[in-house]
Amino acid sequence: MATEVKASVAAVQGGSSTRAPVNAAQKAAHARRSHYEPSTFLERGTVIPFTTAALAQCRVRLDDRERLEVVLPGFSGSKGVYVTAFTSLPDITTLSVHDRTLTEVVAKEKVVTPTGIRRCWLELATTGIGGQELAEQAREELTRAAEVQVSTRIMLLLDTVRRGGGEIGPELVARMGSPEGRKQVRAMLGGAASRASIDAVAVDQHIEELAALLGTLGLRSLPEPGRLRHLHTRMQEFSHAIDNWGRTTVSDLAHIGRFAAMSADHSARIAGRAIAEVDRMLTDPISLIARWDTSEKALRGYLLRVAWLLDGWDYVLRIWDDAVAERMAIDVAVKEIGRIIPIVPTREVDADGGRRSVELFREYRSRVRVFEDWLSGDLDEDLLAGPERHSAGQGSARQ
Amino acid sequence: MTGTVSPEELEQRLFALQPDQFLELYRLYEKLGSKANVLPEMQILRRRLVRMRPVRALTFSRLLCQPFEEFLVDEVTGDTGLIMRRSCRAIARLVRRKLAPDLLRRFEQRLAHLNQRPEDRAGQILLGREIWNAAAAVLSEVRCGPARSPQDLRRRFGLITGCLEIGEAMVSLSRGIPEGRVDRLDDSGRKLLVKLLRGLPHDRAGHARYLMALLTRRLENPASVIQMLAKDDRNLPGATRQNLIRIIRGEIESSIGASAAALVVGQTGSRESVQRAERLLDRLGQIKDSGAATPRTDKAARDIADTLGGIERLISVEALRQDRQEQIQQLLPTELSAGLEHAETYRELENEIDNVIRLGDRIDKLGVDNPLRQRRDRLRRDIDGRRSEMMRRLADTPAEPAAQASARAGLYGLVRMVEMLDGPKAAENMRRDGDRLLAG
Repeated sequence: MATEVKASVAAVQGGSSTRAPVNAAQKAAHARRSHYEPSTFLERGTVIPFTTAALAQCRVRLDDRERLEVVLPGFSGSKGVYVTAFTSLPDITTLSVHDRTLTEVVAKEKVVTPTGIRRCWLELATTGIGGQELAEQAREELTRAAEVQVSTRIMLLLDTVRRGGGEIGPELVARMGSPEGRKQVRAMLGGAASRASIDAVAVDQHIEELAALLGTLGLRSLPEPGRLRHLHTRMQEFSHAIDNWGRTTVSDLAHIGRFAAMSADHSARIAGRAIAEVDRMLTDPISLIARWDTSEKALRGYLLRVAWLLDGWDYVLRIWDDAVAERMAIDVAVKEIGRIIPIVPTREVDADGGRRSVELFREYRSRVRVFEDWLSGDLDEDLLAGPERHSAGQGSARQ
Repeated sequence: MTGTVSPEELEQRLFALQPDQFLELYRLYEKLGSKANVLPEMQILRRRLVRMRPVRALTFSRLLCQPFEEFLVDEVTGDTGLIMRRSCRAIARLVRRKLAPDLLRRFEQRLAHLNQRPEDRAGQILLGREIWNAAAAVLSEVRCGPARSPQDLRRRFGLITGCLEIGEAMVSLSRGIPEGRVDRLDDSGRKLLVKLLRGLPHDRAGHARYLMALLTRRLENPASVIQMLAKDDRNLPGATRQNLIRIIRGEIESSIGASAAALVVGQTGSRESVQRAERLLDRLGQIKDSGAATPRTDKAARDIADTLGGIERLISVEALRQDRQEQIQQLLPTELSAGLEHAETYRELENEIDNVIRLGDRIDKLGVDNPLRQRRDRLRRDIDGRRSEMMRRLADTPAEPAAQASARAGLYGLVRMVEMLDGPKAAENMRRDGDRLLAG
């Protein structure tokens, strides 16, 4: 079994490799390869919410042969990542039953997008296999999404009817869920339907589909935002907070704080643009429904982009919250944040602030401490072996 | 503002604001200060501010309280060496009233000047030093009037005055320790402490106890300071070191003694008392590891173990509200809400197991009688019984999705508890067996 594991571990992007580079040229090539800078979201992978501490924030993606593989950030204590086949995870570490079951579900469904993995996890977590607290969280998240979906549908119906020249009174709003109320609302959608050149039933159906699509984001005007919109706001807060910390602290981890602030701001800015596009499309639901096929595709694209950009940030925010509430030392929290900070893929980087974020990432990677290779920031095995050899030599000399 | 909007709605609106808008609003409120009646709004703003940590304007009250900031708490529970945060305003008011008007005016002018240059840390310390000295002089002349517990009040007043008298050292030490939870002093912290101790004026040598009290508050393992002082024979004279060790040991003993006495004994342990017990046991474990245990700390360990043994159930969960439960069932498909059927019983059991394991392991480490061990065995027997019963019933589960979902939630919940008690391997075997039975 041990040979199998070794063979399946690719260990190509940073982290410890199975064989250390020997000469300077090999070292330089290794260092270039070590700079884990994914170019696309698919290459970056999606965070899979494992409960086993050693696997926190590892990412799942497809390899060249469309098989699932997992990217483990800082697995060997270095700044790089460790890549291995998804199926060999149980051989690397003892998985909790929750993680083992999740591995089976994801492998069976072969999902690699943030929305797909989240769906799998939520469905599994509600069974209580990860504990009742987790189950409660999952049920709460699903219920909130359902509530957002219901309110979004109501708001869209009110707006569409108003734009078609009608008005839904408060008394009808209260009965909207009943079959009779629905019939009445459909009758009122006539004006909008003629503007969109489709029938009222199709308008109602599209609104329902639209509301389901927006369950994780919600409308801008809703008092309770969807999960992604809320996460987007929290990321901006986090960026402010950790930037302030980085500027005022005497800790030698201040540069990680600045890098985290810049990354959060950068991801939030790009995600903000996609959210603004969604909001812009929703300002006129009738024209959106009139061109449903293209609009739906575009909306799905924007929402998936937002989900990709915000993927992995909820964990970062949780760690930060723990540090702020003094449940965790702030230095430990910042170090952990530095290990798992979601990097915007190079192809998604925007021209202005994004470049700075990439530069900071490279600066962060190139800062080396004791026993780290000055080119890659990885643990240098020669240096590590040095003192041991030295002390072993001393020991034998004494003997 | 609050007349037409409920506090919950107001909180929702303030939390929904974009961060920039929120900060702008906060700065406006801050400018209004105590002149306007904005206290309820400020309390809501503060909850979000804790998360955002913006750079805050330096006020007379904030600068004045810096030397004893580490001792400020929102609520005083058990530990007597603490000061209520809301009393800061009253302390600042008292100092301002007693200070000479000219001096106060000069302080205010310099504060306004410093607020335009927030990066001028040296300027802040210079002004702080003058304010702390002046405030200490003013407060030392104030006599505490009769109150419900005058001795306790005098002790707190003494703490404030003492911290102000060595204000610069207190602020330096507080800033020299990294923020948040810190296990022990690192090398630079150790050097700073020695430097501050050696720099204390002759007539203020006794004030070292405030520095030690600060360390007891800030460090997760204050006993590590005892080890550190015991080893450091180059920088401090032997008598001073012995005296400091005595002080810090006294601080630890009194804080543990007071907190152990404050542990609430009832039939059900509340979340707070379980957390407090865990923290105390952790601290006692560190003291034991540091070789600094005394008969008093050993007694405290036995007392805590007895207290925990006397609590019938160590659960700390709140039941899900009935209306929320109905909402969830209404909004989610059956497969996703099936777990609700077992949620309450399982949550309590899980919580009990978790607390018994966590607290029991800590008591074992202290080497005192562990009354929780029997309870752990009892829980294992209970779970084994439930498991046999469930496995018998699983094969007869009807094929309808709702029944299957409910049975699976029942099985997986138990699997989780088996994992907590017997590890992942036993739990995985149980899950596989159960899934096989369910699949028919």
